[in-house]
Amino acid sequence: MQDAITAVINASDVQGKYLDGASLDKLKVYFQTGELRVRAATAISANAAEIVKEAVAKSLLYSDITRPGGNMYTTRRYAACIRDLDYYLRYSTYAMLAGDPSILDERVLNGLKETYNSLGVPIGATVNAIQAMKEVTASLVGADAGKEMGVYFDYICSGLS
Amino acid sequence: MSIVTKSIVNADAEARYLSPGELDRIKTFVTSGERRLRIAQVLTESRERIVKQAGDQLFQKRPDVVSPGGNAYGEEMTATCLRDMDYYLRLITYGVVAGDVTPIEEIGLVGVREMYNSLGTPIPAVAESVRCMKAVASGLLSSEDAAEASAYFDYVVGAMQ
Repeated sequence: MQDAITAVINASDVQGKYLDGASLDKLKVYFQTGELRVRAATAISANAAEIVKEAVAKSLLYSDITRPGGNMYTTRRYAACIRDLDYYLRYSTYAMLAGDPSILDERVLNGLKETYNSLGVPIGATVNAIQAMKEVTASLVGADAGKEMGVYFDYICSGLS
Repeated sequence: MSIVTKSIVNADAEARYLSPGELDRIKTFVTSGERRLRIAQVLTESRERIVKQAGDQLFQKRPDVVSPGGNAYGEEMTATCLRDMDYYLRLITYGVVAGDVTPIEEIGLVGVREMYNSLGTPIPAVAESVRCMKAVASGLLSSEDAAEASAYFDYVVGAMQ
């Protein structure tokens, strides 16, 4: 995986270049937003279970998906669903902290859509739940950090669709 | 890797969020970002001077390397030697901004003995050249910045011992 810093380093090294003005500017932006990222990650990790719970209540709980025949029916499938949402929240938090989405490609999205399709997991409902996590998270961490987290929630959604 | 990526990889190996200690370290790191960029910028802008002066010092200390039979003897070989010094200076700027030695290690130290042995280059002389660059660079930086940068020069020297 890369982060905002190693992405810049790798791009420079491939060309054998020192960090130029544009690279230094990118790093500067990352450093300036660093404390915001750390604060948001701290809040999210302290409230992860609550975020998932609220997001499920907003998006899935009262729909057909939890009734007999639905994909969240049976406690085992319900548990698998909240476990997956837990994963997406944790990996989005990693990516937000890193300022780079590559960890999502490498450790979440690679083969995910195929897996869901073969298991019959509805992608649309998954995307709704992730969007609900985006809203719940934003109300917890505030607009700026929420917007940054939104980038990575959206990244997962577009990777699934 | 940077200190950020490293912490994320460690946390993910245990499927957990980053610990308060890890987040604190990242916070300290991003707070020092401005200083790191300043150091990288000074080293980058002064790279010709640093390499030139350090090269002169090296050839005074080790006249054998530029004498007939020496590994840097002849215009072309001397230029190659100075080019390698420039490579290490560049990698040191990467390490400074990443707050981590991994970029230096991955790009320029894994296999370095084997490479220089196969080229017949005396590794102690390469290490000495990095030590000379550190001395020249330190003279261009404030004492606090020089202390920060020195850790990365020392790491290269240590890995070549």
